[in-house]
Amino acid sequence: MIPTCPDGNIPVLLFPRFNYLSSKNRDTIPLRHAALAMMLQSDITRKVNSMGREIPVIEVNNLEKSFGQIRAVAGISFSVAEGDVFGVLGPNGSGKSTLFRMLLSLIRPDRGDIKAFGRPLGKNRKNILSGTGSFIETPDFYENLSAYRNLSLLARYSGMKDFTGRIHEVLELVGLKERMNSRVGDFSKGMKQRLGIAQAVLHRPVLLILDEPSAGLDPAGMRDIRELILHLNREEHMTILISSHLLHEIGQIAGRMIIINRGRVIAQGSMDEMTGSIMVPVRFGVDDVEHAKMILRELGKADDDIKTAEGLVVVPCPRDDIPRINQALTAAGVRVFAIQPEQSLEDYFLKIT
Amino acid sequence: MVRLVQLELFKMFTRKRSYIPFAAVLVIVILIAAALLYEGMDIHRFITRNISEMFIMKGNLVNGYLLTYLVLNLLWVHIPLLIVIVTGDLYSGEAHGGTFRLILTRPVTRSGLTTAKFTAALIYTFMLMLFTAGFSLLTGLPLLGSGDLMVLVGKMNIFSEPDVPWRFAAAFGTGFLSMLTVTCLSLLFSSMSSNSLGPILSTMAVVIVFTMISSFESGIFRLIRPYLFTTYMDSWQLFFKYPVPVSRILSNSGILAAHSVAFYFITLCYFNRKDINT
Repeated sequence: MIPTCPDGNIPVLLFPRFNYLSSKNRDTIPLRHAALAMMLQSDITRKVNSMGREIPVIEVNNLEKSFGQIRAVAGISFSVAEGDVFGVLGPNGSGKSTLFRMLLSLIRPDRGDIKAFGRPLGKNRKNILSGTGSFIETPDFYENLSAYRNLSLLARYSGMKDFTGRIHEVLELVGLKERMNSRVGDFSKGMKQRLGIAQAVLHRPVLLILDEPSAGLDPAGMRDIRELILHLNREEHMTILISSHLLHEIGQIAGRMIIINRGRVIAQGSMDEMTGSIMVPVRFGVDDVEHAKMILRELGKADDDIKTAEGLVVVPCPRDDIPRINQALTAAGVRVFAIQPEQSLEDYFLKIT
Repeated sequence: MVRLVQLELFKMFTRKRSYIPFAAVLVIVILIAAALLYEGMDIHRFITRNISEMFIMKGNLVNGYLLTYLVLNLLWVHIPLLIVIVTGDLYSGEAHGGTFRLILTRPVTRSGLTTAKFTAALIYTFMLMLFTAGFSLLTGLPLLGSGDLMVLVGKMNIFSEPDVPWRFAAAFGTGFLSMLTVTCLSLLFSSMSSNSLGPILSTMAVVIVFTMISSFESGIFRLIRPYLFTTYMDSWQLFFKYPVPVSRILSNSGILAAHSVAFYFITLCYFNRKDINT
């Protein structure tokens, strides 16, 4: 049931995060955040279109940026819904970091619009950044200062007042509490990455923008970061925009994604949407190859497309077709031992980029 | 704004580099004091060799005030160099270290950050000038004693002891304005660079070349001179003239202040439009 206001507008709590403030931690939220929440909640009754669509947390339209003759971003558009983990995937040099820097107003776009929380970034930069945490490429800190000093400095830049408790909290979250008084200059890359996440969530943002957060980490470090991001999304209810050049990383985190190359979006949707309709060779491990081949013919597969080996039938089909084929085979009495698409997500990524 | 200035000062004073100028001034003052203490009379005889036969020189002329006056001469090159070592790194250090990404993704305006950096640099310059004046006097007076001040500014001027303190206060004040112009120039260059050395070398190159051109009185240099801010940087010396050319000092100070304000606004415009790619 959708609650309605007397004027017929639908109240939309864009930032439920702020509603989680208990009396215990309310004092630790800076005045600026309270102001942002008030500003945003004063706008919670909004006109919605006939489809009842919510305002996206981020809305990017036709964004362009060139550096001299090089077009780093060439007309990118996408939107991120509240509560999403949205992935931006692309090879090195595809324009991911430039795109993220524009979202954070570090770089001025040549053309196009960026809206965050339904408001243009340019005019509302300060308020929008109050509710945004970010991490751009390798996080760099004041190397001569300790982790605690760095975070307290950034907390003050964010306008936080009583931040000691929160710093302990985020350092605990990323597993750096024991090293809080060590110089950041002595930290390993993995520790800096984790401190990068800590600074991004320090001021309790509602939106997290993470550019390659696990770049250069070993598999265990990558897993830790991945789990942390999922925790922040599920438990802390943060909307997350994350970029990577590693498909499997994005695949494990993001619900929806765009794939960009040479500054353009070349594919978008969920992982299922993007990989579901493409034709990939699929191996079926069966007990009766000839019978299976006959069933596949009946399903409309051409003879030339069907390859066989001992106990194995290989046929190209869209991923969405696999359950139908499996069902047909088993219904016909063919025992299916294994099903394996020959093309991995990486193959798909490499193919389209 | 106060918070941003405090943060800039905090960052500045947690870096070892910021203490180098203070240490350098300390060493230079001690060296000059030692030289005056051990060879002061020889120096005095050398300076006054032409007039000693005509005048009877009485009293302590190699004193703490002379030491402070000699230290004031560091304002030509040494103090500017020491200041730009620190202020030339205020923007470029952040760009080089990648920390602009941390700060500018917080709810901080670029104009606010620029104003905070200029204010912090102004405070730093003031502190260094205060330290230079204070340490010179506090070292010189107990060590060498007080007395009349004898200086050579075009001609030999001798000021009686009670007439000296206000001249030093005014000279250091005007010197601060000169140093502030150098500070603002270094910040402008710093905002355009992503390495520390560039702004330091550029600022010093401008100061040295402009000072050389300013010192030439002939030919094309005479035409250029009024347009160079270094031409007006010697105002502090005018307080050691008889009579003190107040209107010239005021005009020079105004020109220097205008330069500082202009450098600030150029930095503001440039930095507000700058893409942070580092």
